[in-house]
Amino acid sequence: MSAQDSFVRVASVDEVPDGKPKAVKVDGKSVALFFHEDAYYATDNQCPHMGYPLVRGRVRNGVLTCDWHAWSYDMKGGGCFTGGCDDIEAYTVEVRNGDIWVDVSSHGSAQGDRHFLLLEEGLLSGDSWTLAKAIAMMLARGVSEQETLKLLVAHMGRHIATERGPDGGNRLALTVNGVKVARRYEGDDRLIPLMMAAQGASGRAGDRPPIRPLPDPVTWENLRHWVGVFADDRNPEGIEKCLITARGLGGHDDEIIPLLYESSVQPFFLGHSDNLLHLGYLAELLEEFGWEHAEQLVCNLGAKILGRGRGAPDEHRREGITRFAEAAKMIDGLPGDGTGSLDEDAFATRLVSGDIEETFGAVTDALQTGVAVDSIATTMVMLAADRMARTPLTMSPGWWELAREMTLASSVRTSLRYAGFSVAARALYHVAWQFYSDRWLNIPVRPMAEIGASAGSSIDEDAALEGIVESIESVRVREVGRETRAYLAGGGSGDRLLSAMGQAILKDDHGWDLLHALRTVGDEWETCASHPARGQMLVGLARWATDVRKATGSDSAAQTAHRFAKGLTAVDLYEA
Amino acid sequence: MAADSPAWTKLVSLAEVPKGESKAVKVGDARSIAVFNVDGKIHATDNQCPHMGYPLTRGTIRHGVLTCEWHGRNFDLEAGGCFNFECDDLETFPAEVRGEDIWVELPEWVYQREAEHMQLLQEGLISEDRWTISKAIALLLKGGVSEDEIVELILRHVGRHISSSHGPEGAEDVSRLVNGLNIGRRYDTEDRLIALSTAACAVSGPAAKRQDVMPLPDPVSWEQIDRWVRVFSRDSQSGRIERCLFTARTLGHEDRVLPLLMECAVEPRFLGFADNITALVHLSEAVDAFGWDQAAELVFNLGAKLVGQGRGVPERFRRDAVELMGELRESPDSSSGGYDEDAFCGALTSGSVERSFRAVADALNSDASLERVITTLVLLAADRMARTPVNVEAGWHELTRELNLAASLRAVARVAGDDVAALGVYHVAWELFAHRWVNIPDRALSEAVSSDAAGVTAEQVVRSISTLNVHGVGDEALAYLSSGASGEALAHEVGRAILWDNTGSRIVPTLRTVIEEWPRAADHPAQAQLLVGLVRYATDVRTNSDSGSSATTAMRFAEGRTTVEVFDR
Repeated sequence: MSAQDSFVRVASVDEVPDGKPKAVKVDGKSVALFFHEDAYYATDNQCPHMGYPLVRGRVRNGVLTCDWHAWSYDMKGGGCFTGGCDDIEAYTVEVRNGDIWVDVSSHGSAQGDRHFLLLEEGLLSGDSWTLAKAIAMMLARGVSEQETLKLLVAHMGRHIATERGPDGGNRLALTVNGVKVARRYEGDDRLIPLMMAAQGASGRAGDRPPIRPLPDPVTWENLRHWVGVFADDRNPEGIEKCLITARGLGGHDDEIIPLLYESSVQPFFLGHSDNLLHLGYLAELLEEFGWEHAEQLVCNLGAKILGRGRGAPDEHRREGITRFAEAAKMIDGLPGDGTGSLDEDAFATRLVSGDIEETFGAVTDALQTGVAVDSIATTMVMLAADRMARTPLTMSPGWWELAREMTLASSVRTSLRYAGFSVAARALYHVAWQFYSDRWLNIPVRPMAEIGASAGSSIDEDAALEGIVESIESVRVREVGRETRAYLAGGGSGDRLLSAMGQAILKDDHGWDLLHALRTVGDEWETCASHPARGQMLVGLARWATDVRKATGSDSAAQTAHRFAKGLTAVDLYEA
Repeated sequence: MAADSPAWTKLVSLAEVPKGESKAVKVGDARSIAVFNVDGKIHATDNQCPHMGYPLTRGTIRHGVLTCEWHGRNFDLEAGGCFNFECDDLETFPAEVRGEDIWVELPEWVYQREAEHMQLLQEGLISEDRWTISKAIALLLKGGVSEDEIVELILRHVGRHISSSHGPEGAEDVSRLVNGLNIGRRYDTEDRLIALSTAACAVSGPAAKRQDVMPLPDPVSWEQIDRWVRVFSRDSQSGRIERCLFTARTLGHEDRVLPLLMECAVEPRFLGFADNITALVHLSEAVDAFGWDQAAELVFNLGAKLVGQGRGVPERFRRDAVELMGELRESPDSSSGGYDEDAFCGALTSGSVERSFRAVADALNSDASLERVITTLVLLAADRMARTPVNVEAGWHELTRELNLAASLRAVARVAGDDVAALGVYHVAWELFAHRWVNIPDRALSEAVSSDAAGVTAEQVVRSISTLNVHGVGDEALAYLSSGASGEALAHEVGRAILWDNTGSRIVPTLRTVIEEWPRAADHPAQAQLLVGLVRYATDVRTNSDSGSSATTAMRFAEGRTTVEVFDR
């Protein structure tokens, strides 16, 4: 054989007796050598499952079995018997004059696009390790985020269509917000939020024949009308048929999201504000991926959201529905979105008065006096944030409800963007209803101007930042709010704090619950840049994160996945 | 003007359909047209609701949506589109008022919905809705679609259904499918539709996407596959077996897969898991009938689940039996003696594994052919079915398993060779031992059975089945056969009665065994017991709840007759 071949001498045969495999380094890679049934074998030493060194595995019948979780491989071809996409690299071996020579270039393609297969496997099984590993590999290999997300969106569409009811919206929320949060970070920090996004999209994907459109002649006006009728009748099948038909008609694609929004702000949906959040996520997803990838999700989940069952309203809700229906007539008489500004303190006082007439009246008066929807939304977001920053730490501080007030208020902007003034104005009443429902929370209103008005003493920003994160991690809930306020008052950067706090939140298992608020705070931090109360969002978030911290981490999986993707586990953990 | 075309018919006078009212008008033999006068416009549609045939003239119209009263299916009154899943669109017809009359354009009926109805069948298979399945099949057959195409779709579904939603117990569904199709081919019209839709229902259920199983990367040889499948079968690792089987196909060795799996299934460690053997036979029939392209996923997935299933540590008796079978197969006695069928049967039902297994070894080494030994086993099981006391627990499940297992060994011999089938005989012996609690007195199989009651007809036997005359039906069948009347004819009539009961799906595998074994037992004195056993079994388990109703309604539906017949008369 020529001297230029790619074989490398790795050991003498004496060093690899039967039953004593040996690990060697070739080009920085850990390679496992075996002698079995009169032949020498060389494979990658890192088990593709979780990275355990394969030299410690058992060999029988030509099958190499890892000690840790008993994944098994054909030593010669590298095929994995345990999963379809976890073949190992098996290298060509030659014995020359009592030495073992290995050609490490001989099977370099075994892992080519394995990450896509792994991602598919993880999406089907929902196994968090598989998903973590797949995404870590994609990050390490620089796979385009868009390619990855398209897979998620397509899979989620089928999963939700066949396995979920309207609660599929919660999965969608996880995926959209996971992606949005991931985009605020760089490199390895993106792994955990992307894992959450993938987890949201994962699950069984059943068979489902395509939905056929209604036959001609059907007009867009018919379909519009019927979607409303079927939402009223709770008939999601009928709605989905209409949406698919609308797609087929052509020319009305841009009217579909507004149409869904119009139904979802109807008075009878009062108290079902999930709908508004989830439609917002659908709209964002559609905007980014287009109908080609998002059609199933929009038509199916959209129909399920609108056609969902609604229990008979109790007396309070009946009253709310009646009042809202009256107020809505006024909206149709308005010239459009105003430009005026709001007396925030008076508005806030009425909103949380606990009197539905006052609560809705605050919104009605604001709209009638030409206040911009966006401006009302801002006040609502700030009010919710201030409530989070100040809610007493009792048995039930109302974190979930307060976060809902904030995310919902923020989503009014989304509805304004995708469905226009008339829908967004109605959405405000749904947010107001949330504040009214939370009247049991004992948080006195205070003037917005008072908040964050006084500048504090100057601080050592790095130390203060570290202190806040440490308080969150060690669950010092009494201190963390005060520390955050002092940090901001002393001129500390909110962006830095949000970024660091976000990582601390994501690394804990409670990150799953806080993800949506984390995304909203990130958005609103920019939007409300000039508002005196915006710091309360960070204070509230820090308090909440600290109070509900579970101190069990999704971080270790992420760390292992990173090392794994870099081929470091076998070496790091056992050989070094 | 189109209005002059002959398809325009004067249907009814306007006065008969006042504003806001509807009227059904019969056209020809089997067409009922619904005419609606609503919102100042005349509409004409098929009057039969595409879901279950209820007359739509009784429905409600709001927002241009016609809603059927029965199950609330909604239709666009104008164009006929259905807003619900698992339901066809409604046929609508152009209508206009000319003078005092309503005219409607009724074109010649042409079948145009094959694609829709194939999809309907798939939807029914996924949702496990018997009516949707029966209706779709009836409509497809009426529209001239071949049964083969229908069966192909069912097979495609079953591959995905079993692989995504079932463990090894999915073999039961496959057995009902394969045997149901086999039986169906022996009948016509409604009987055939029942057999086909019952078979389809047996394999209905959710199906989901799963990751493609990829072949192992090169280099892999068949010898390695062969070795590994055996290793993984021993270690109960079905997922690994599946990948090996897919690899075998890419290597071009798919025809060696079923023999290999059968070899695994007859191993001593699988004593007590004899269903594996019959299931593998059904899989090989699926391959024969539909080819590898259609059957590969089902065969590889279910086959791997069968021979890779967990077995638990055997209890005392089974452990001894496993050991004994191992010893006997290792040291075959080469002396070939005569074959004493009665003595062989006596040993099999002796309640002693030792006697039983040694008798098997002797029988296999005797001068009798394997075919002959299998005939003995089949008739022994049939004889037991013919005589088991009909009490609380007649042991039908066990006895039919003996029968079907014994008969399946013929196919094992054909696919995997006599040596493999011969090991299967031990599994039959084990089943007989395991069923020693079924209290059936010994009887020499070589003694003829007969009854001298005269004048029993096939109709009488069928009547006894349908009136649950379990104590008389066996004697009647025997009397019928003793009079020299045709066993085939009786089997055909009995088979029909079985198909029309809800228990049909369960009995079909045994029915098929009896029909196929009947001619093979022609020269045997115990032949009659095949049919006697079958009729007793079918009568005893019968529930007299009707599986035929959905099929007959589906047939009427496919001919457009439900509206007229059920409601308009």
